Amino acid sequence: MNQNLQTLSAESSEMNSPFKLTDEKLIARFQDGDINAYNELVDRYKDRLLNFVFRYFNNREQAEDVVQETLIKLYTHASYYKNIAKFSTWLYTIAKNNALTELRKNKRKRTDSLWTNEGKPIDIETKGDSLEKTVHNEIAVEALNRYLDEIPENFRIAVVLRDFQELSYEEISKILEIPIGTIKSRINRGRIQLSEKMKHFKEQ
Amino acid sequence: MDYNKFEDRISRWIENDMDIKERKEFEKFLSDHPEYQLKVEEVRNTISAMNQAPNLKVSSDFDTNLNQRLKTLGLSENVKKGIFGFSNQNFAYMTLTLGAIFLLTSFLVQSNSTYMFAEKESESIEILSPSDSLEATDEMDEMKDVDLLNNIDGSFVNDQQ
Repeated sequence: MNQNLQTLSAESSEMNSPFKLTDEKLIARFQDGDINAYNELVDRYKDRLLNFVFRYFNNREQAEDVVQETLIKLYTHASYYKNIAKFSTWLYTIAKNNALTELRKNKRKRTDSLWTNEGKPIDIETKGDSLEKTVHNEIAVEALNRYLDEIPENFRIAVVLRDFQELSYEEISKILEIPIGTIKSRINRGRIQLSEKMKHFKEQ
Repeated sequence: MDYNKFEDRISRWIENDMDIKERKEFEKFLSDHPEYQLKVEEVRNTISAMNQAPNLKVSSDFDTNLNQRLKTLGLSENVKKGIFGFSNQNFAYMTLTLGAIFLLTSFLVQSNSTYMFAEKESESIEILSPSDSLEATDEMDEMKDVDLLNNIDGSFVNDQQ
């Protein structure tokens, strides 16, 4: 397994080809015993899940722990997946349940910031902009994340799934097990609250 | 339309999730109340900012830690390896290919042996020269005569013996 995780790129040339296998095909392969398919799924989802789970905790270490729990469940419960739902919906649902279980276990701690983790900068994807623009964007993103953390959790999670993870309303509805109408309403409310806070940030 | 209804519909208008009647109603409200246009613009900008926000990336030791946890749980040994180390799908493809090769080989062997048998038969026919064939015809005629005599009088056969 160690070897498999570390030699992913070398072993799964087919999976890295321009004609990538769908998540559903990969999980089917993993169900048939193909460990490279599992590695590919881990690679595809680890960052996405982290960005999702992070919104529950605002703590990177805890979020990574929950993502790992989720990926272990993917390993042990792969046979439970049936090809009637989208794989991403299934995996996000596991992540959400793990996050909620973890939240119940521990009282929520809001001591961590997105940009610092015990003094260490967090590794983020940068987009080749000028330094000035990057700095400005970083401040804006920091504010966005701070304000996002201030809105009610019900709104925040729905907004994150929609506007950060870019999932469809149907998927979000399935993951959160809430009717689509309620999801749309929560997302709208969350966006409005966030935009009001962002307005104050711009005025500063 | 009142302000609350307007606010409820902002996201739906931005995402073009309205029927024509609703859209017209919303846009009329906006043109009647230009002060609310800014509100819509702010929500649109917030959505755009979230869409473009950089993503967090897992730490560099994430894979190693995950691997370690899987190992600790003894899961790496439990993974189903398929048949003889091949996935079921690959095993099925391999079986089909081997089957096809077997059938093709059997067909070739069978057609080869048929050809050899035919060749032997044709060889045995070729041994007979035209004169041989004439002699054979004479022999057969003689045998026919013997049969005829045998039918008329069985004693002939007995005498021959």
